[in-house]
Amino acid sequence: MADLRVSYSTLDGVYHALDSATETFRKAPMPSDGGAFGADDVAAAFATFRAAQQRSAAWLGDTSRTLGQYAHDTKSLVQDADDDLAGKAGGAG
Amino acid sequence: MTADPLAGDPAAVTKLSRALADRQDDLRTGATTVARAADDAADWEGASKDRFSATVGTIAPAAQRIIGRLDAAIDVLGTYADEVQRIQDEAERIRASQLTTAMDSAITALSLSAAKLAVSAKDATDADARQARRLQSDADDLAATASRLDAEWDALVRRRTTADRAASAGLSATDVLGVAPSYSGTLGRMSDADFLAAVAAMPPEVLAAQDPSVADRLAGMPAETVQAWWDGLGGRGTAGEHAAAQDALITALPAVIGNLNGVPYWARDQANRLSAQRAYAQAQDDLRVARRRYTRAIGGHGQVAAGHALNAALLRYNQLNNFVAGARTDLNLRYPLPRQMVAFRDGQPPLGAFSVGDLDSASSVTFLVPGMGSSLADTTQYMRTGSTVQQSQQQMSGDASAYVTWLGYESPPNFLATGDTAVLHEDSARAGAATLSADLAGVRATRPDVQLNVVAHSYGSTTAALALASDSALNIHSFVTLGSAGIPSSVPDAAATHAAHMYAAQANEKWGIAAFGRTFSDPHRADPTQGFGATEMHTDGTRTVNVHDLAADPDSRNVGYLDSGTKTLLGTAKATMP
Amino acid sequence: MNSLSKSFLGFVAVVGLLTTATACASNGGDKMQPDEAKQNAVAFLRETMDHEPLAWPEVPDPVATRCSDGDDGVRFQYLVTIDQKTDPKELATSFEEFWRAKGLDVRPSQEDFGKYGVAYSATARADGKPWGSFQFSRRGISLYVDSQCAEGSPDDYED
Repeated sequence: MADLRVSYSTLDGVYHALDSATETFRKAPMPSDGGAFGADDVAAAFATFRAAQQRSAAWLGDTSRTLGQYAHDTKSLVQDADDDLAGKAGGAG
Repeated sequence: MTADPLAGDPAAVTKLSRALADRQDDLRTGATTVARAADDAADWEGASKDRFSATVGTIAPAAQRIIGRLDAAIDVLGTYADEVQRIQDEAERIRASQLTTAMDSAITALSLSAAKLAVSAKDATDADARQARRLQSDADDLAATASRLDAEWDALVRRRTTADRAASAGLSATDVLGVAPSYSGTLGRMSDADFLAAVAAMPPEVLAAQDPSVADRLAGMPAETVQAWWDGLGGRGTAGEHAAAQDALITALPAVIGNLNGVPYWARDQANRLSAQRAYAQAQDDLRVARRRYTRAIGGHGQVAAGHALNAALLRYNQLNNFVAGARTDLNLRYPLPRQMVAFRDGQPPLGAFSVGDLDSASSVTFLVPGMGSSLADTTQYMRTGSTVQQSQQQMSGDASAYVTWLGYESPPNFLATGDTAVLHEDSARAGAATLSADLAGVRATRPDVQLNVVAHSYGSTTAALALASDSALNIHSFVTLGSAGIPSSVPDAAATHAAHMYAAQANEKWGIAAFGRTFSDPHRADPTQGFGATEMHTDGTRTVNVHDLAADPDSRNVGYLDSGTKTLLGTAKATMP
Repeated sequence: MNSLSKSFLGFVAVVGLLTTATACASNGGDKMQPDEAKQNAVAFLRETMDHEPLAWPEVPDPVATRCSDGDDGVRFQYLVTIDQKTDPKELATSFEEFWRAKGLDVRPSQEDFGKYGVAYSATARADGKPWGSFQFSRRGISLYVDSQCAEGSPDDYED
């Protein structure tokens, strides 16, 4: 862990921001046409477009969540290091 | 089907466009939040930050592309809504005119009929004849009008057809979908080389949206082909430095890339963490739902069914929870080692493998194969067990073999806990051997010269023996069995495993669990310490290792095969020493 | 029923009884609390370290691990290491004698690692006490203490 340099609060902030972004991407509404077109071929094309959008946005959400997890995992390592240092400084353990 | 000029609701289509614009705003907000997080992470340095930076850089451009596709769709819908409104207005006018004409025609027909009667009467006058001629003229005019209106209606139907086709084509265009459907359709017919080039050229969010057949075809590619292709995208790469195209593949098809032989393990690790995290999040949701349903279930049958569902959800949750915990679990290592999620296959049950050590650079790689009753819920425990061996190696030389906790097969249930006799048979081992052999081959393909070992416990040795015997090209350095549940007869001796060295440790176990597995095996399985050709690894008989476990119960005086301070730990460390 | 089947059923019955009996005996009812298990282990570790005046590091945080394959409970494993040239055989003898004098059942072993020299290790067990184990080589020292089994689960200690 010698090359790890970052504060716990930084990583915590990054984690929460990415968590929020993940939710935003997940919940971004993708409307259905609800019969608005009155034409089967247009409705079918819109359905294909809708599915592609949902999968693409799912990719955005998944990638954001992974990034958040990187920050979370690193945050845990930093906390362990801090606890370790605190323990050593206090002569506890 | 003939287009209907009056069909559809342009106002609703306009509302749809506004909803898509709202979606754009949300995606922009999300991308901005991610960009801000990346800026806030400026003071974060290290290997984990490298991985973060490489991935975070893909989000903003992808979001921008998706927003651009929404723009294009909004344009198509806007044009369509306007044209449909105009067509509907015209249709209304035509229909109103047709109605008026029809009514006038009906009235005129009646009048004409009466006028003709008047003309044919004895007292007919010139005025009657003039009236009849005038009414006939009116009728002819009305007929012409009706015909003209019919033609206008037909033209309007054609205009509506054209508008529908334009909208359909517009919504299917590349700038709306990211890739033309016709192109997607041709992927399956391309040569391997063209297919791989096409897949690598796609933006990740477009690749993620392709038909599952694309992922299936990629998953079936041979390791040498994959390796050449991957290296051609920008070199082998590392977690911190690699090509954008490689990032796109990882994030777009993680389930494939994470288990694809020929792909370097840093990339498999990133892909598998993505897949496993997704599966874990879903398992958490499913468990919540199952709990809710259980508390609400009424009636004996309903409660039993809900109880089964809850147990299944909890089991899966525990498996995935422990697997993802492997990234952070504490290990007693002398010097820290990186970890890689080298395989993850979601399914029933989920299966995977987690290494302690970098498979792309370690001078030695050892697969630890557990026995009956094991699952992803045991990931961290086996990682700890493997790390005891690694710590021993680090003490001796400063270096350690990368130990892969391999939970890649559906092991037979623990006979002692369940009474299930599957452990006495070979079916689970044969199925598992195929996957183990493939995963070992994956290491061999990417690391032709690395020392590759297998340490197998109990029924894991049954599985591993079959795997090693099936592929002489694996070039296994050491094959170590601990408390073997027996080697199948299709592997008649140590030489048949093709391992350069085979070691077998069999303690005088209390309760003789390994012996039980061998004695009652069907078909019969051999003891690798008895005339098998393996070097016996001493356990010092009853004096040290005396139970079947790898790690014994601390409230006993028992000693397990890989407990710290044991002869078998030293022997295993030596046999798998880099 | 043939003789093999009879043997099978008999074996299952015996193993079932033995594992139940052993589990009851070893648990002896309730497990101890984690803090007490840790305290006992740390006390034993310090005592062991004090036996030889080496450049011992601070007592580290333990790793939480299972008590045994499949059973409930958590044990805490402490590892202290020193990288320094040693006479491993002499150290091994010294620690083995120290633990034996404390009433522990000590089982030594060794393995020749060729160019890395000989590794000397041992396990030390006693009823109702923390375990000890070590590995000494010319390059350094590893000293383990495993606590008794305590209430809880290793999962409680995952982040």
